[in-house]
Amino acid sequence: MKGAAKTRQSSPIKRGVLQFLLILYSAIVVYPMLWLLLASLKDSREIFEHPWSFPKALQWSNFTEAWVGAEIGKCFGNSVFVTALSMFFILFVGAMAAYALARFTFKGREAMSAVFLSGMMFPVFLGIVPLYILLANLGMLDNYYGLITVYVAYSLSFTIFVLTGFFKTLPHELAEAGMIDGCSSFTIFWRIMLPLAKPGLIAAGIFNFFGIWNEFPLALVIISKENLRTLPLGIQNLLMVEHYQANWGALFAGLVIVMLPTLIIYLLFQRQITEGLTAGALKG
Amino acid sequence: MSSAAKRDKIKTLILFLSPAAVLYSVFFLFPMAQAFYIALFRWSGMSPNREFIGFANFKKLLGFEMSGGATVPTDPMFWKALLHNFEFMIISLVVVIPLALFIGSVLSRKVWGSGTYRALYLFPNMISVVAVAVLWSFVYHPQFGVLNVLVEGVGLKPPLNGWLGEPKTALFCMIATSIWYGLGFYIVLLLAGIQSIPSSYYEAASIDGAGSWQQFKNITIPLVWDILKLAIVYLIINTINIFGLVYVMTDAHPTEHTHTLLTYLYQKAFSESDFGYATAIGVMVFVLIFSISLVSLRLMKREAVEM
Repeated sequence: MKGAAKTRQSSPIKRGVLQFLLILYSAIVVYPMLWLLLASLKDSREIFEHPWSFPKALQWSNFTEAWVGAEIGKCFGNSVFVTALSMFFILFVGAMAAYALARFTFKGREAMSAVFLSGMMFPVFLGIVPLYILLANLGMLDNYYGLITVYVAYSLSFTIFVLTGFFKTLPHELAEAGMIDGCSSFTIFWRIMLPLAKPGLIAAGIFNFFGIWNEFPLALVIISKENLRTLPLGIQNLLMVEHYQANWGALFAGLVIVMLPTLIIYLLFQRQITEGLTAGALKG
Repeated sequence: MSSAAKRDKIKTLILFLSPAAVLYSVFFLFPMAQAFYIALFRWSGMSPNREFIGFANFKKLLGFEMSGGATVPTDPMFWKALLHNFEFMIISLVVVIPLALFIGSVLSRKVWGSGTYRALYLFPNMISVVAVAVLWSFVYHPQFGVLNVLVEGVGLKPPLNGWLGEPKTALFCMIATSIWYGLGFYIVLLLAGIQSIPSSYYEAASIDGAGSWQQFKNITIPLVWDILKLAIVYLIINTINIFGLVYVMTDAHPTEHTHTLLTYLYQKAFSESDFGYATAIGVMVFVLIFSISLVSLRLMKREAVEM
């Protein structure tokens, strides 16, 4: 790979042009977000009159207004709760199933793996009406547990797929040693295998985090109570409200609040994210 | 294996597999399967009364009728929504795939800061679609949007009702936003493919005097073909599944100029409580995704190149 880079040196002019194009596209990517950051620190009049300038005085009050007044703080808490609980159950339930599918031979194993895998084929909205009715009948509409259950069910295909691949690569000797020591199969899974599968759990966890933290259509269908709104619902609602109230500063501050955790997680796990994406692509 | 050991194994399997199997069947597979059945009913709202009407929902979706001497679709909105999805798909394919290939191959070379660029380009794809949609409705804002400033800067007149309020521009603005959102993903995907090509191929080509374009055409393209196929199919699926972006950028009220299949489905199901009909749209979306993916994979079939 390094050899390729060395021999593919091009002329300085060409390199300059390419560098310019890369910077141009970077500007297109960064510009709206930078504008947002500046706008979140201006008052509404300043946004109107000087949309391009730096804020004259930093309006931190936008953030308190968004957090408290527009209830983005409440939505933030809801999103943290829903995402954390969903991820816990997705990884726990998914890892158990993936472990069984990867480490045991039994009749119907291939078929079962295929059924789990097939879930990645269906568009989210295909079953939305039956799901809505099912949740209504179970009294799970408009509450956290309905939303979390649906998130877990919808994420299992992908999670089991990733984790099965992982468990298959683990050495057999450790589990056998555990068996000889008289550990129960659950203890072997929990104490020995799960810690070994940590990189896989992290990879699956990251992608599920982004999937659920950002999830919109299912939340829109399942949640209608104001105090249960997750962040995407809260922001969408805030946009509609501000069309009339025009308190833009608070809306922009709200947007910054939504994007901040994404940015932090992205920066922390950037390597795993790119590797995960590319590994999936190269295998598939 | 002794029968006791066998019983143990079965118990273990049930313990490990049943939570996932139950959750997945009840809350995922069962509703998906049920959709094919519910699409055959006329069923409004949560009322227990539903009427079996066979394929009537599909006939209405896909059918034509005579009206005032002309043949018109029985559900014009469905066709408009479908057309909008096709516009999303075609424009995305034409813009995203060449750009991603180009940027991907530039980044695969020894360019200054290529890792940083890659990380930067991927970031929009990690943000919530809702946040992206809200952010971009301000890029297009009639009073303080950047686009107005740019357009006025070159002496043109921006639309009076704003870019998203104007029927002619609204859809294209949303397509541009979806490209901004998604491009990084395809860059990273194709970049990975290009980086897996052995460097000796390019070295040999250079020695033979092949220029960049020839190397790109004769080495890069054939050797990333499989990933390119994957990227194209992903893009097709994503443009048919488009929902949040349109829903948010139209303030939850898409019009005949902006509806896509899924916003139309959502409206039928949850604003008009037309459950059977909405589900029929869902089935059509499924069939569409399935068939377009298969057809495009078939069209792109090409002898595998051994590395």
